[in-house]
Amino acid sequence: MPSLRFREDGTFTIVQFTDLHWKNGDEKDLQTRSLMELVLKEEAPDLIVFTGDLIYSENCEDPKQSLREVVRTAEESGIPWAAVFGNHDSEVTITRSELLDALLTSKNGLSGHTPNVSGYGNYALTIGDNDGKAAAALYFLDSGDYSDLPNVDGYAWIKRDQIEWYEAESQRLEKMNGGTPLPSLAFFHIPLREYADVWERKPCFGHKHENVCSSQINSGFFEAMVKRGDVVGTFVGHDHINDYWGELFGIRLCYGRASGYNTYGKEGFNHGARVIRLTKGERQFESWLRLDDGSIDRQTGGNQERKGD
Amino acid sequence: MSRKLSFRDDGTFVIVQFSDVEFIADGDHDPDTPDINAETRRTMETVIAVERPDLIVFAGDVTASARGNDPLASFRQAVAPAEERGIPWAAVFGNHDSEGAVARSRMHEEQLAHQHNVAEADPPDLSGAGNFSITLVDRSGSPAAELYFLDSGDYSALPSIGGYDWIRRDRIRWYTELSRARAEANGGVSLPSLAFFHIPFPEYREVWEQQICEGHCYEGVSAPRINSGMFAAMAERGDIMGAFVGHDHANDYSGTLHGIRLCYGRSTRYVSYVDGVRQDRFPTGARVIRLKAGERSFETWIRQNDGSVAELPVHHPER
Repeated sequence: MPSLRFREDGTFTIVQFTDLHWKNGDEKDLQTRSLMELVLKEEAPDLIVFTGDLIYSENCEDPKQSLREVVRTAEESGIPWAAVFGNHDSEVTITRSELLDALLTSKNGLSGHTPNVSGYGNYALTIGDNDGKAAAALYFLDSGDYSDLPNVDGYAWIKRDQIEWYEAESQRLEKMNGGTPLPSLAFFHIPLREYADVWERKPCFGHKHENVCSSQINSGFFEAMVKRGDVVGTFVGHDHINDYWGELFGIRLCYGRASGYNTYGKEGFNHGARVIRLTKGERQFESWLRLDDGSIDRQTGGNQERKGD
Repeated sequence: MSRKLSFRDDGTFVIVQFSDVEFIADGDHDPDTPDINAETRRTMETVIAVERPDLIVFAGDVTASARGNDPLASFRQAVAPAEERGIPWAAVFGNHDSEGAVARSRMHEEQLAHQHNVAEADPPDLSGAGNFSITLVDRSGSPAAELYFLDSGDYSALPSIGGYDWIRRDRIRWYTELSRARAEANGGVSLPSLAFFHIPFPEYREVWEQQICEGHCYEGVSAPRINSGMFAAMAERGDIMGAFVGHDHANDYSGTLHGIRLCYGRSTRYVSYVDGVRQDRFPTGARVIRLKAGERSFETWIRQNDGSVAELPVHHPER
């Protein structure tokens, strides 16, 4: 398994592909592949992250095969890659457990799994410095699919045992780092409820063309991250025509930019990918969007116009 | 301590919730205090006389500790109407209970030292003070309901967040584990349960905005600025039918969100002050809760200081 390292110049670049919604390899899927190839060529990242809805399982003839197809670009690029699942990955003919098996056996894949914790594919990766000592951490969480409580409709949420797993992992890495929390990022599919809060209450950058489709209840993952003080950014997908980010209590809550053509979008709202650049030793990151026409969107506009109050 | 509280012969169990009685020593800082203490006491006595409760719960801010010279004396004075009548009682603590020289843990010891108090000592290593549960038994002595009491703290310990504190995850874990153990001991069926704490969680704002509610909302919901997931834990466990808080004196509404009825109490000492002048927008009083053995539901109403039951407006969400 490849290990992740900051470059000689101290940077580490991540490309986030989200909501690829791969079906059976039709023309739109191939457009998605072209976008991925373009972004990888332009950005030459050190890591690729898929934040869920890799496949549109209810429309896939063979979901496992669709999964293999959608990650092929990453596999063939030789770039390490990692993934979390979204609600559409395991809707009808395949379980998350089966999908996870496919994920764990792919080439150059760094995806992992923590047994005895809710969900499939909760894991952490570290990025080493020149000596190979962990200098940053990446958390990947399964935000599930749909609520299984009769009194709660809608999407699932990150469960308390997953939050406890994150806390323990974060504490372990902090200890290894001499008592200082590692600068960290977190990746999952479904936005936390705080994504709606940040748009309402703080300056945000980028677009919000639809409602924030979170779970209906708040299980407290955001509070856990604030308390641990290591995560400086979270990255989700799920809402294809939102791509904004905003900072709440020291954490930048970021949407990706939808990368898949085989699903809903918005006319004039190009597909693309979010790019994240960490610098070793810094508790912050740079981020921008790379779009399918090759251009860069630095997201300078947002909701500030109406934030006169 | 560990006295059995049991449902009556008619299968009911009545709880009176006093909210924010905020006792301070007579004459401390405020010449009106003796009168306000006496008035608060009269309100409690009226409610007790009419409702004859099986349990009295003080839902925090039992004292206004920052304004008193002897918060423990204030505490004893506040709970006297229950203690003197020999009615079982228990308290959770609010943000105002630990603003003086007395720590919450000491305040909790003080309640445990009372003869008719039914609280329990804190579990070891749990954050906060005054986290305990009480099991109600039916006539055959079998557990029939569970009451959870949680410390919602006072003020955020994280300067970057500010505002009020929240129920920490270790307490949420304590609740879920206890809830699971109670269900296991009950043949796998969770016990109908209620939860009492002082500071409303953010879902109190949500229920007012999204659901049909009963009662008044004359001030903003002073919840913590961050959501630690207590409501989610309650929804997942599926045992808690109702949550009961105080804190916002000018709110007394209740409404149901994802199957859990979120209730404010009725402020027992005062409702509101405007520029230092008392301007109660509704009478002081108390929330009353009636459980029935074997039923996964409860009745609730508000008894006012004149002995009447409050007529509460119904509020529909705007959208």
